[in-house]
Amino acid sequence: MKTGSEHPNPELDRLVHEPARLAILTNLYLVESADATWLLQQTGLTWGNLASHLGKLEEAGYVRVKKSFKGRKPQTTLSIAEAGREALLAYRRQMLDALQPLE
Amino acid sequence: MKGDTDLERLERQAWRKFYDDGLFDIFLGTMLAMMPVASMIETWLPNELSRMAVLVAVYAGLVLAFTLLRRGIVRPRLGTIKPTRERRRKVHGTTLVLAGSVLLGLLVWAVTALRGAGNTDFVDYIPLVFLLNATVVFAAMAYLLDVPRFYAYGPLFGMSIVVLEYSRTLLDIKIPVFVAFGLPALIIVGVGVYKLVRFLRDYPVRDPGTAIHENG
Repeated sequence: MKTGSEHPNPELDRLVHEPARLAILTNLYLVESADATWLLQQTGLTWGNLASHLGKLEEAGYVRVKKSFKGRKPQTTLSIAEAGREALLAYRRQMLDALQPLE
Repeated sequence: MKGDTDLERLERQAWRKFYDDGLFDIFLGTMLAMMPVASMIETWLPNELSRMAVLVAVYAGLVLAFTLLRRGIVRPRLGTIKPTRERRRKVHGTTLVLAGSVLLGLLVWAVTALRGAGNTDFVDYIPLVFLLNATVVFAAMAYLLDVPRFYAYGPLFGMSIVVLEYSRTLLDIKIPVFVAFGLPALIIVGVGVYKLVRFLRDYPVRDPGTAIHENG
């Protein structure tokens, strides 16, 4: 019998499970690529938080960060990597399975 | 993303924000409002070529103003995205529809010029062709760009010429050209201004270091 302290799904990807990172991955899943301003507006995060979570996602290979220059202005283009896409969809499946008994 | 209804809905919501600024509506309404100016130019300028040059300059100025305003207002607030391939395909489809509409316009103009103004049968149907063209083009834009309010703009655009021409020929009532074009233009610009005000309120520019976002 399960106790209250037991995690419902120990296989959940903790990197995706965190709300801010989940928002980042979900939003990047919706487009081919975007800049940081769009992601900031969509997620509601602060610049600092966004940069910190993006760093973790990039480190895990879930997000690609491409830095370039448009004229003399620096430009950062963000996109979801294949691993990030798979992780997000797997997480979604796991959550749906976990929550289904409550319906 | 087929079958992934929630993600599709999120994608649509994110996409529609880029048309929530109302600038496109203001641009369309201004274009319609400029049509009486086109007829005024006919009386001011002597030849066809100079009239055409002035009209092209006016509309090019409008397009330039629209592009610069969008860049200055929308980009700092919403940022930029490269949409999904499916979405890009639809945007290309819109371009094709608009190009087709321009071609149809040129065809109507050429046929009218070739057959001469004396052929009243054909000239009588031009307002209906314009109404049909505007309705189809805006419906296609509404569908392809996923912006439902554009469905209403086609008939508004088209009815301006229908009302202007048929009130004169069928009912013998002369509606001023500024009223026929100005009223629908005012409605479309009004929608655009309303949306722009809301857009500026809802999406402030966030500089680095700004605290919590309020729209999330």
